Amino acid sequence: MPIRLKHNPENKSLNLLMKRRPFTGLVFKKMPNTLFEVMYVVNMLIRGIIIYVTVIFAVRLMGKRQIGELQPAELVVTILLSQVASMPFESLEVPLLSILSIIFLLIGLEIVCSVAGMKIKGFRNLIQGNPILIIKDGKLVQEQLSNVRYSVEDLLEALRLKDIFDISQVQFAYIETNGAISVLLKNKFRPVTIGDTDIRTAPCELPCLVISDGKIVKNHLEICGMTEKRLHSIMKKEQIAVEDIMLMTAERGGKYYIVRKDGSK
Amino acid sequence: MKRVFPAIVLLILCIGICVYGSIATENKTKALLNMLNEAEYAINIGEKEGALSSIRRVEEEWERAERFFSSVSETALLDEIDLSLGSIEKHIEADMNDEATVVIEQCRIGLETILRRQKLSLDNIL
Repeated sequence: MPIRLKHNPENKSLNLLMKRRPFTGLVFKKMPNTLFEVMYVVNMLIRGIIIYVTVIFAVRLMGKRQIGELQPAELVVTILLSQVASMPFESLEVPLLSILSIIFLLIGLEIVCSVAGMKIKGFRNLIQGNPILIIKDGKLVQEQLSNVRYSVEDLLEALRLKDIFDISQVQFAYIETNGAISVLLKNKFRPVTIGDTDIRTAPCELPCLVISDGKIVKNHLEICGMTEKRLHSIMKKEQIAVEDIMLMTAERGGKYYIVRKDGSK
Repeated sequence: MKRVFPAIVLLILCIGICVYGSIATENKTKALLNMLNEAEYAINIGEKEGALSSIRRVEEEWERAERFFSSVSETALLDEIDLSLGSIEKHIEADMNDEATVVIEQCRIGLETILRRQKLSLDNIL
């Protein structure tokens, strides 16, 4: 049974608040008023830790979409989550369970809506909308521009941010559902790539992190076709220990790159 | 897709918490209101010992219910009821029945406010 704290006439409401947060009632029997106030801070700290862990869990559960470019629904959830999560920090008056319920509700709805958007095209259009074509075949689609309330200045600014200073170089441009602009330049203004020439190139390999801060990253070894035995032979050849390596990347073709730790031999 | 199942579990958990909170609040509040009515009746018919016994039972029941209420309601409202309950016994012991009745009415209003706020209604949503 939690121990009931006696009503202190000098700190009635604080006393009641402490009684309602039973953690302090279980641990401490009687204490002077100054310690009551310290326990108030301790309660806030514990709430802070719970909210922090819950929000981290929420963001992880919602996935990498939340961290990258935000769609409208994701932006809404992110803003709501931050507002709701800050409420318990303002006062112990706000019940923590209600806040956690709201956070769980937001996460659940966001994930269910994003899955529904993936499976049902109409639903996706309803929640996120469609990309809008604003430059077609080098010509400005003025009607669409006014529909999305995009001024010419806004458009030119967005193009400049993509290092395009001449609108006449643009073949197609879309305003995406997250508000970003994507651009396809006219052929004669596009940067030349190896594909435009007859140059033969070796297949492209993915460099993988195989050693991080002195420790071997075992699950990456298989991706880059490396074995621990080969890794150790490279260490022997380079005359360096694994513990002295800050990072090492390796590719399938046998290419590798090592950065030593500062202060290592 | 693997995140769908935890999401559905979380949604069910939310709904479960809300439904449980609503039902439990209703049950506990009604029990307290009934006890308060008994105490008020005892005061009105002049049974001092009966009234004191009823009020003590209310306080015990409130003590049990308060922990639950503090997780679903704001503490300001609970503080008012808590302070009021503490004074009823003193009024009865001092034979101040009118004052005791007034404070019981305040407690009743507070409990009905808790009950009303937990209900699923358009007023609460808006």
